[in-house]
Amino acid sequence: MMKKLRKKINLVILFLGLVLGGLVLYSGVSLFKKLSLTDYQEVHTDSGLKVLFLKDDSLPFIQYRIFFPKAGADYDFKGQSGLSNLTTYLTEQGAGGLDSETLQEELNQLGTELHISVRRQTVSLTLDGLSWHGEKLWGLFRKIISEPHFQEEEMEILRKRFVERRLNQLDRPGFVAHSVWRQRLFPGSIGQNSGGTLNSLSTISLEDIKTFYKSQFLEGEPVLMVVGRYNEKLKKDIVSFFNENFAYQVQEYKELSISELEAEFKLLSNDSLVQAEVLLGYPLVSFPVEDPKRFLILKVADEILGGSSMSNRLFTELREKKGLTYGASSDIHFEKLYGVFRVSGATKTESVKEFLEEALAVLKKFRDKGIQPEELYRSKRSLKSTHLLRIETPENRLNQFMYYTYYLGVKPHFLENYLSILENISLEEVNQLIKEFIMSKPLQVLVYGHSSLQTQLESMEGLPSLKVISFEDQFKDELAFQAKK
Amino acid sequence: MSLSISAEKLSAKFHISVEKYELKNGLRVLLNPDNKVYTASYILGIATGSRHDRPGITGISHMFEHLMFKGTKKYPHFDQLYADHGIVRVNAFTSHDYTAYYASFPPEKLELILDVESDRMSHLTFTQEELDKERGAVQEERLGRVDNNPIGTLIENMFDLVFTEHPYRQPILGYAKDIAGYTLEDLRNWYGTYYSPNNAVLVISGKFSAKKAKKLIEKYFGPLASKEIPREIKVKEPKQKTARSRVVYKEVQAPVVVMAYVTPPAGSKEFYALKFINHVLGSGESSLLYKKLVRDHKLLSSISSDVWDFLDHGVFMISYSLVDISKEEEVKKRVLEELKRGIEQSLNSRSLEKIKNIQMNEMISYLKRSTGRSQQILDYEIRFNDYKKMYKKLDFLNEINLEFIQQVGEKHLAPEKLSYVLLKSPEKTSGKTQKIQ
Repeated sequence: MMKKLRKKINLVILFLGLVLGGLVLYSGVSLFKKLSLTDYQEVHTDSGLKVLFLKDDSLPFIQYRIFFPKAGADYDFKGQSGLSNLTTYLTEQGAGGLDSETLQEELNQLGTELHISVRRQTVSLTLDGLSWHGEKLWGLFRKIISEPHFQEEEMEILRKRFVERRLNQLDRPGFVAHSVWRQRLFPGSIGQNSGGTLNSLSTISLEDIKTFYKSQFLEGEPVLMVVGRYNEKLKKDIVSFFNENFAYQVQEYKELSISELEAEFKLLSNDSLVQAEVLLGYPLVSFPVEDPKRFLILKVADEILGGSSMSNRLFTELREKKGLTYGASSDIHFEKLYGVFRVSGATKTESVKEFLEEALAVLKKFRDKGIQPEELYRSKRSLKSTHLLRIETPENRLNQFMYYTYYLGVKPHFLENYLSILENISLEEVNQLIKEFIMSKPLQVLVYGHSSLQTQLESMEGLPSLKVISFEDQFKDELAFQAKK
Repeated sequence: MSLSISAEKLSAKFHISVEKYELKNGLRVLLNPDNKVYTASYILGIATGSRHDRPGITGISHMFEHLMFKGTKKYPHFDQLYADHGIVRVNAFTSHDYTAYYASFPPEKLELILDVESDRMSHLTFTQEELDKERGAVQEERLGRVDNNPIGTLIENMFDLVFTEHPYRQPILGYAKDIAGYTLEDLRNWYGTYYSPNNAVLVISGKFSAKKAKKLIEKYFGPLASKEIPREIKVKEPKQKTARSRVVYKEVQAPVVVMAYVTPPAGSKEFYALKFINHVLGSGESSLLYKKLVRDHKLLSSISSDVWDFLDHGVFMISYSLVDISKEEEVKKRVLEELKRGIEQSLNSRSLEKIKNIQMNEMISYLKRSTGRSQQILDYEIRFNDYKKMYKKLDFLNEINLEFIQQVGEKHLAPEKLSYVLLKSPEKTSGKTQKIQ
């Protein structure tokens, strides 16, 4: 009798455990809804600029961020790669009547500096600091985003810095490999190096910068974000400034054409390298705005193939089982107008062929056999935790919202229900999209390493015949330009 | 996270609630609950870093860090288990002074984390085959971070030049020859010697119940036996009496320079004084070195300085790229002149205000996220046995004496204390190139 009763109690406990477990599992959803989408305030100013305010009193801190969704490097004018970067960095080299030195001095005196992020398609400028400096910081930030001086002398100082940065980039094997590979994927403007080349940087004039600023910054539908401790007066000042001073215009996205490519297998040789960089993949279509769940399904697949956890397939096969690399990973990445699928890693010269063969075998098995239920479960758990970490701070939550809503154009419902959409993804859905996306296009393979690799790689099966180009030939224009100087 | 504001001490503006206690076996525990976030983070530090590596087995602390992911009898597939439970950002790092293991986890997984972490601290297993595979990964890591990377090569040479006796001169990753030579016995000895609760600090931050955590920590870590940790043989770095210089040859498009000085230990008043000098001289575009070398003399397109803080000594560094190698000597001369002038003339009450603001902003950036908080707490607790030292630099600002800072600068950044490393392409002489180091 007692035994039966104990068994019954145990069953009740088990049942309660399952119910409570379910509550715990879904608690993130309700918290996320509550915190990310209901406690910010969105103000549409007369200038057309949207301002998002989010109060957070946990630390004496304030952050201003302006987001330009159409000002990134992909919009650089033809032959002028580096234009977006130069334009953006020039905004803090003198603004609103303060020369560059004074502006930097004022910012640094408040213990801060402007954080600039120039991505492929977007640009953001962020200024954060102590909340009791809130008004002063706003005064400086306002000058930077509304009254940049764009002076010749400052542009020349900046151009020199960019040239130095480009030379340093050419000494970083990972960077060189990625930029050459990208150029192959996107032969037009979106394949250009975002920081520019030695040649392209030399062609950019102040007029180009002003034109770019007008078309991509002022007419590019920017969004401003204010997070932290602020008072009503500051909030009013910010809104009235944009009500009275500007007219931001809406500009339609320009269509980008992505060319169809034939498969390519290329060795970029450089005899000073003792380790080779390996990249393979192809371009993808644009972000699935109408059905963003497809994006999440692909993220689930990517997490299993080569994502953040150490149990992903590429890491397990190439590092854990073979010790071939420090890290091998995959990335399915979407911009608003295009996407990229990439597998990458680095390995010593003598192991490149083995690395490539193993990586191709992992990809083939992934496409042919799909994923297992336990992998799906693991991937969902991992993406859920990563998402909750990503939105841990108020400014990160708002930034995510801004990115999805105002850049990608996804309806708020997607972010609101991110975790439940993730939870409901089925094995069949993932396997179906794997078939659709993985090894679905002609593979673009690049190895950047020692010239002796030619012999090793010529016998590779399953790839087109090897093309070889030396570092000197690949960058001959830039090296000649530098030699002339 | 609770905050209290006090007018007297700057640090009071940033106080977070931390509960610190010690288990009977010596494990130090620090709990920082914050129910406003969705997840929790832990970090477990072992007070063993590259400073403990010995000649012949340099890099062994780091190699062992890799092996800690190999699992135990109870939990053989550690990575998979964590992934199954939504435990993410699972990783580790080895520094000069200690090694740390960390992850972020859903609050309901706290017990699992403590069970696994206590198990791998005491029952880790690894075989020769696993060691050999992981050795391959570490060799690749070294190739990528150092041998194939001009900046990594430069920094390794800088440490080798600036320290002559102290183990800080050894690379954290170890020399290639040593990595190839570790035996299973070396690594098992390392584990047996240093991985013990009385040589460790556990920090948990974020969403969790402190009451529950204490019970579980006692349950899983309490039974672990403490060990006698070998007394560290303190190596004193001899005082540098003359400037040192080294040229490293490697194919590069732009030569790079680092000028380095040994500083007093992290946490000391003298070290903070140098940190403040760093902010005035080389941090940001309003810094003296940037203004003089980039704007006035137009010799460089960028220059910056930094101070790295280690337990026994730190390193003050100034670094820049030399696009025009013919100006090497002129640039070096100017940098040294401006450094001297900066220490003598540019420290004033306005710069002190600026430094206070920088330090407070830095503090906020650490405290904002649960991962940042747990790392800061560990960093100060494991090195100084007192996490509250992380605030000390803020309070020191209120007691600061500009004369003292100037004296410290003159003493530690003197010309004879300089170690200068230039990395450039080999010069082609009569068809031959110089040997690459």
